Amino acid sequence: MGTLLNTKLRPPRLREGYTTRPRLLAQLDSGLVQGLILVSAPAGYGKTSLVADWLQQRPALSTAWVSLDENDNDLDLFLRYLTTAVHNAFPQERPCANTQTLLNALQLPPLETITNTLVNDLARLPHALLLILDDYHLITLPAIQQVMAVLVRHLPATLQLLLITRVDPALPLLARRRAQQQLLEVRAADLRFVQAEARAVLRQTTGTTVDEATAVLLETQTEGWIIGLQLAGLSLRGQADQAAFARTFLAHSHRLAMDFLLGEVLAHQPPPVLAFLLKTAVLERLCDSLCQAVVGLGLAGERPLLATLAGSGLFLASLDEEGVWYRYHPLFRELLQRRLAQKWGQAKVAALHRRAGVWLAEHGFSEEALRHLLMAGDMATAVALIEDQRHDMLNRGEMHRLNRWLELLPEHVVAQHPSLLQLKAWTLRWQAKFQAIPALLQQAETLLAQETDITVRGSIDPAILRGERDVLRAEMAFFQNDFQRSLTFTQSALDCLPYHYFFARGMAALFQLLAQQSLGQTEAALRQLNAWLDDEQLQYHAFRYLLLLGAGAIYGSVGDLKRLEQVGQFMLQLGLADEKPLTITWARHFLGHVYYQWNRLDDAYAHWSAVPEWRYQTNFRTYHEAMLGLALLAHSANDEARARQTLDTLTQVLLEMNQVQFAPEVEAFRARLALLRGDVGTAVHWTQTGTQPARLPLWFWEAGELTRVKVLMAQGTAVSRQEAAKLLTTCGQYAEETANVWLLIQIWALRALLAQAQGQSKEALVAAEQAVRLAEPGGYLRLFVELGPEMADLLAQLARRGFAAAYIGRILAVFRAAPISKPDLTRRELEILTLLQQGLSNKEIAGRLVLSVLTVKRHNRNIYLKMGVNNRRQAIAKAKTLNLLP
Amino acid sequence: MHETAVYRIRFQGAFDDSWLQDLGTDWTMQFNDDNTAVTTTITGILCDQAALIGLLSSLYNVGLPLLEVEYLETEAVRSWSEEQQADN
Repeated sequence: MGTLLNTKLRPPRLREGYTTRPRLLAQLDSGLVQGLILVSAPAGYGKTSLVADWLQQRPALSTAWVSLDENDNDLDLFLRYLTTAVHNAFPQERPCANTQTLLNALQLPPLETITNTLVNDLARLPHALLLILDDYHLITLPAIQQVMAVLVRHLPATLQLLLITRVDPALPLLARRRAQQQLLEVRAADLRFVQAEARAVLRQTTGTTVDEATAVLLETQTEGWIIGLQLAGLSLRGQADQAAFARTFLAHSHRLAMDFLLGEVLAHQPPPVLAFLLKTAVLERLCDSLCQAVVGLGLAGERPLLATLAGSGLFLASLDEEGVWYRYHPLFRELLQRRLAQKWGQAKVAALHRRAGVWLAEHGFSEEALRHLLMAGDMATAVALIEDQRHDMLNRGEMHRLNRWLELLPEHVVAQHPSLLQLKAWTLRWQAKFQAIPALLQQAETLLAQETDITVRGSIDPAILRGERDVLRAEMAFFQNDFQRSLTFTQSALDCLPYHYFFARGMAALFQLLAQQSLGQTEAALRQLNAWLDDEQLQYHAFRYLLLLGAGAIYGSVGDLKRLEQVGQFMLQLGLADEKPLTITWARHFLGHVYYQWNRLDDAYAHWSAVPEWRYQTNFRTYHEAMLGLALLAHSANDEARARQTLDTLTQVLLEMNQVQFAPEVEAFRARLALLRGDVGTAVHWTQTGTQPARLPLWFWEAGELTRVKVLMAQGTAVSRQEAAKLLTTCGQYAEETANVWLLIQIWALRALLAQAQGQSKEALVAAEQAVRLAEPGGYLRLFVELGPEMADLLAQLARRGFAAAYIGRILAVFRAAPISKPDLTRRELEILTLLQQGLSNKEIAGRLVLSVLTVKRHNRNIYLKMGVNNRRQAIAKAKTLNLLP
Repeated sequence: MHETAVYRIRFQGAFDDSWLQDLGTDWTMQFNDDNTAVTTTITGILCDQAALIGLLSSLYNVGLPLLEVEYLETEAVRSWSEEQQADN
């Protein structure tokens, strides 16, 4: 939240001597009942002051205030201000926590999701809240306007919305609300100062009495427009002949002679004050030290102080209790800016922005600084500012901010700077948009090679940049299964990157561990892991998290579930303490996996079911894995409807978040579940039409090729079994090479089942023994249960021969407790199955059911597929054991 | 909506020449002072209606009431600017 300016979250303070306007306050009071209040009038009618005064007069009201500016045309930033303002009103309850969660998403969720969440959050306020958005006309971004439109359409009963704006906002239902008296409007005609009010203002601004004729003249001329009246009042100060001045004003014949009045006001300022006003007009908000930096050093006595200027009525409003920050009245500032541009020209104005940028950067207001530097056209300093901060921001994981900063820069500037190109690559990586990364890295590399004078192209050591590139390349090589190349890149990255680049070094360490493991160098990986675990870099979350992730990946793939559990528990504590969604969800994924395998299904459920709430803030992989896990749990509770529903939700979110690369895995998993239900037809259909997922090197849930093996085995033909055997050979080679025990256990178990089905009982037992040998240290249970009763038979045989009897006994106990899943037969299929059991021929069945023989044969084929059998005899036998028939 | 066209805009009151310079060289301004009210008519080319809305709001922001906006046919753009050039 460091990016938000607190001064925007409270109303500006009223100037001294502000005259309260009871008739308008009463009007506003009545608006509370109507729910929506619109204060709509041109600049200078005293809108903001009126509302600020109202809030001061009604201290019992619970309120949230946001002063908007042009920079808030950014959905993320706008909503951060809005929700933070609400939380300032309800610091305990933090009712918009859900919306803020979405804002921290790696990739902003769809607008509809954000809008609905915001409306739901605001509907649950503990009690009524008045939300004020000042200068709402500055919001031009359609996305924000859409959010506001939905909010107004579904305005919660506890929320009153007050918009202060120069023009009527494009909101739905305004006319209807007006007709139904659900809208209070305070417009220019209401805001106009009536004669008595105007007289008070005039007296106050001039500081003297004004003669009657002049007062009437000025009031008529300004038509109750307060800023005009105030300017006129200021111009009257120091006029020897008020009446003469008023006549000049009239003779000037401008109805609302803003320029004339401002000219008069400025003409009466001492030169230092005049220069001060013009130069500081470049600032959105002002404090003495910043102004001094922008205006330049004058003699101490000549340096105007903001408090003094504000006191003399020069349209400065104080923004905080301490009297540090001020802002000009927007209209006054606009006029000053015009004068400044006319008088000084672009180059000098740019110099002012530059000085403001430098001061703001030095005082930690980086984003404001960046905007000024860009207005100054000073790209070099802007880039230097980003380069100075990018490393700390990467370490802290402030990707949203980095992304916004990059978007502020013109594209060609990014394209010229290797460090910015690589920064962009980091932000893309973080949003899982890998495709565009190689080109960016290449571009950065080419630039660095061309540039001999590196100071021209940024301040970051090319060696560091190379280290960063190598980290990103190591990751990409790893996911292309090019482990040797990945390992080389990680080593070069670790050599190049300085010690305090914890995030980038952590990434390099992670992929070094993964690459070593995948190259079968488990020992070396574990040695390396232990060395790093002793290192003091570990006190930084980014490094520790990445290292633990690597540890989990290794233990997961070598089948060491006990250590995986330890890593998971440790990560979970760490993640919860530091509130890091990535750490929490990876930990829960690890723990869910361990407990599922150990058949502690309630514990597995507890961890997996806690992942979806983080789906927007975490890596999509962890959400995906948890959802597959939940579907498996639903299946093992015989709740097929819930399993399907879980997968449907996953598919929906996957599309919503544009993570389509996960779709083939989900399809493969659906086929796997179909097999578990005994629905071979659906599974076969998948092998014929579905996209095969790329083989994954880690310990993820769905290894598509193994599911394919299972489908081929279920088809039960000689050809399909041959194909299954072939596939198992290639999978086996891969798993051996990568020392992936988790895959090997499954592969040996499948080999055993395949041999058994082919009548090679001896080979089957040898393979089963191998699977058990690998699985026993980790204590895997469910992995075998998922393979069906045939696996139980093989295991029972092994146990009877005295092999791993205790462990197998535990597996068999789970088998016995597991409900047997029944094939999903239609009523017609059950009918036919009954007749088959009675020994009727196809022709007899056709006659009995008034069907053609061809149709009966088709039904038979489906029945066999769904039951995973090959002929009538097997079908009848299985139907009996499953109690399918009466 | 998105085409270059000539607009004639009439408002109550006046602004000084510097405003006109900001609008561009091919804008003309005409005052009318009939003793009861001062009105100003400005005529010139705008590239689309986004520019038009921007111009109207800057008038609105300094409190000059709008009296009339006239859209002159796009074909008129050429002849109008030719006239301007002939004058110069």
